[in-house]
Amino acid sequence: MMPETLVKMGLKGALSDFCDNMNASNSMTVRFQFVGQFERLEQKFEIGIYRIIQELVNNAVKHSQADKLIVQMVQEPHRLCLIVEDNGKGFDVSAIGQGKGIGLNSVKSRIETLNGRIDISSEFGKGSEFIIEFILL
Amino acid sequence: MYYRSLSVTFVFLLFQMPNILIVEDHPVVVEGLQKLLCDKGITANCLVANTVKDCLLTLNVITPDLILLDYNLPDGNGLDLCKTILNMKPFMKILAISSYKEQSLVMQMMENGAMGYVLKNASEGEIIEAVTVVLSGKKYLCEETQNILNKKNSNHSILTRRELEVLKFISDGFTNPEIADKLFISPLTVDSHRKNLIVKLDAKNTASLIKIAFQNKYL
Ligand SMILES: Nc1ncnc2c1ncn2[C@@H]1O[C@H](COP(=O)(O)OP(=O)(O)OP(=O)(O)O)[C@@H](O)[C@H]1O
Ligand SMILES: [Mg+2]
Repeated sequence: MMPETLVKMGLKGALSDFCDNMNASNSMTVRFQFVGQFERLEQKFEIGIYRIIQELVNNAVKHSQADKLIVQMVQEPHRLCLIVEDNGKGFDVSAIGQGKGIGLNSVKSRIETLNGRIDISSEFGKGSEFIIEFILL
Repeated sequence: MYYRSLSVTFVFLLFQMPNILIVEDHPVVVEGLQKLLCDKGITANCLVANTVKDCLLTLNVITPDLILLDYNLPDGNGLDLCKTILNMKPFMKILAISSYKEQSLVMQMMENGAMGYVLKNASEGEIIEAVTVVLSGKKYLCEETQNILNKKNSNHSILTRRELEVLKFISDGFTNPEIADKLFISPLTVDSHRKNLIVKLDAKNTASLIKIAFQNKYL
């Protein structure tokens, strides 16, 4: 299902709506911030990135036990950077893909298809951070 | 008999009154606050800590109902102290009382878990209101702080925990690979954070980034 806002307004509006909804429906504070110069992207980018952020936020809600989550989008003319950071319990990043879940693996392969890069870091008791970067041509 | 019941009432009142810890190094401000809180019948139980160290020592032995927290302290700042306190006592009610009007500082303070922010030049009425509201468990911002936060074109966004760490290391003069080593992230990621910080703080380069970060009390 493609949210209408994504088609109409692009990533900034759609992610902002999504985070507002998650914020309202969970005990965790979910905050979205956009920085930089907003421009619409190719549709495959917009959809792919939206799905990625959805999965990362859902994971934080399901697994992190955090009380705060920041989703950040920084857009410059030739660069797009997305960050999802929670202050939850953290997890063992080296064990990704070893369980039953497929979410993070599909996040990784989506990013690869879009020629992007992801760095995941997590510390027990402190939280997890997902940082994703694309060069925009 | 009369005296006895009077003192019993007095002791009883003391028990009913909230314990308030004032963390502030300027004696004049401390006295002003103590007098105000006492005159308005909020509390007669004001504890005082002049330094970060004092504050933490006090909190080891007593859990006040409210902490009034200044930003500038001789051995640290209220921003970090706020976090430290909440790590020790997650339900502590903290009201920041400060003369700083930077939007970024107010936002960081609230982000770090303060329940209220009131400026030192606020009216007595507002300070009392702030104390009462926060004591009751609700958030409070004095009028001027609300205006500061509502200002349009607020290009200062919240920095993430990681961004603050990276910023600190950049200002200490570490290179990308060194910072990467310290934080267990890739040098490319450090560079992403650096670029994001430059956009977020509206800086031109790393040197001006550090300057702006200082001006806005991120460092
Ligand atoms: N933000 C997070 N905080 C703590 N643990 C996390 C976080 N994100 C992921 N994890 C851990 O990583 C595992 C793998 O995540 P992944 O998304 O691949 O699977 P899943 O969410 O369990 O299942 P699926 O996504 O297929 O529904 C999770 O089961 C969880 O243990
Ligand atoms: Mg998942």
